[in-house]
Amino acid sequence: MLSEEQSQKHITTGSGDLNGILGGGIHCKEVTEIGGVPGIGKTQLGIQLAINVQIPVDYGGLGGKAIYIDTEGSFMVERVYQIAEGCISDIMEYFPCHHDKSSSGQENLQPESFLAGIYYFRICSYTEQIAVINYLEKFLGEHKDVRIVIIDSVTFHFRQDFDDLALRTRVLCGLSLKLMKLSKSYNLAVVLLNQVTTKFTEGSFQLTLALGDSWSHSCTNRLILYWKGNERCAYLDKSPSLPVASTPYAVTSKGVRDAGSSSCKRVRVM
Amino acid sequence: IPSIDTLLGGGLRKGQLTEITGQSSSGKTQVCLYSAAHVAARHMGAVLYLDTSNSFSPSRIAHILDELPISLIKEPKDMRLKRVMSSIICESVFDIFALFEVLDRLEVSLNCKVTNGSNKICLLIIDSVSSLLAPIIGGKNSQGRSMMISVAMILKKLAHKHNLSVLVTNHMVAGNGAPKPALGESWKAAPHIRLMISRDRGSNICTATTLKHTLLACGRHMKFQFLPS
Repeated sequence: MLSEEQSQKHITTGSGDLNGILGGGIHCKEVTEIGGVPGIGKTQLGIQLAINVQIPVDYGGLGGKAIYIDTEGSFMVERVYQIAEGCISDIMEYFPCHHDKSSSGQENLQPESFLAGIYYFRICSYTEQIAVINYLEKFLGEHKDVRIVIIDSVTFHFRQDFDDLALRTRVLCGLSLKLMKLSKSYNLAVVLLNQVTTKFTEGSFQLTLALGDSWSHSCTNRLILYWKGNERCAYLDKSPSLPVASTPYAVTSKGVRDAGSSSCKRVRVM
Repeated sequence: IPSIDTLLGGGLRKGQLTEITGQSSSGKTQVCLYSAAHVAARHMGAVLYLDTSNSFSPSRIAHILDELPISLIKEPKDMRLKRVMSSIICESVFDIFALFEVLDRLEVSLNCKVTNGSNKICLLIIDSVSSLLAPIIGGKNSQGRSMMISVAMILKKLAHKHNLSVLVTNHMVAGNGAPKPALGESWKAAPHIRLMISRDRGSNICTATTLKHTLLACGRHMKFQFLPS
């Protein structure tokens, strides 16, 4: 079992520092939850991962497809195209020797093929969300090359209009167990993007991830994105095998990269 | 972990059900991994680790083994790692019915296996039992609660009859004001020993408190720390 884990590859997030605190990247066979305030780049990270999972094995990636389940409608195709282009140009930069060897492989590195490798589901209510997750098992049986499932955002439909809180807890726990099972049996990474809410504890308002304490146990790893001054930072909050750590990162026109890179940055709007 | 052993009165007792409860990322899974590693390393027997959140990590076990005091090491590192990994059986369970199935199979195998010292299972860890029970508890019908009680009874019977220690983890929910352990009042009576751990924000120091113990006084605190890998 140990050798199996050591040979497992990780999905790079695009930023070297982020990969560092995550132990190489997003792990397969685990459910990772990423939370943060609006505007910090969760959807950007989700899109970046959907692109990065498709990096061919020759270039150090997993060469797999992605499933993107969108609940908020924030998946912009133009941005995906831009990030795909950024990813391809980075690959060309890092692997110049491959140009001569595999000119046939190079044809596959077009942004269109990256877009084609993302299976996109748009859902508009929580019943649809539950239905999609139930359907995923059958879908994954047919499409064995999917390596990542991204849900953006998993909490959106459960926050409003849910009268029975106990039912909500039950449904969410069942959902998370199903996702765990899928990730383990099909050897894929599951990434859940989550929103924050304010909680009144100890006499002050604190930002915590939405859906409460019972949901916080349903993921294997948790990453929290926050603002530090004018910079975006990521904080690894929960992991079974890694210590807590935090690191800055940046969202550029090419996608998610290390902080301090020379490309233009999107400055904090709020 | 020495301080938890002191709180427990010498360690995880055989024939008893111990529960560890705590907030998210307070260190419950770490305690489970440490117990599994120590029991397997000291030839006490095999460990059955039931994981509901895919958090069992062989590399973390390897790190924990590296931290063991030198005097106990009599064999080369990779042989010990191999032996420890083969004594820990890790299975993933994702719903309550799978749990019942695994416990049934365990009972059958314990009943008919000839007792062979180092291969007999002596520690059963379920991390975490509350995430398996959460989808069925609550609501109008009481079937969920009855399943929870039957899980508790099966675990206690296994512990008592086959002299196993059983360790389960539970999580916390928000009560009226302060967080309290999940699974409610009926579960409270089930484990013999209950420990609550919490982690100070931003540091690695955790505090463990006994909530319930059959032999020792309650309310004792101990601080300890997980060394980062």
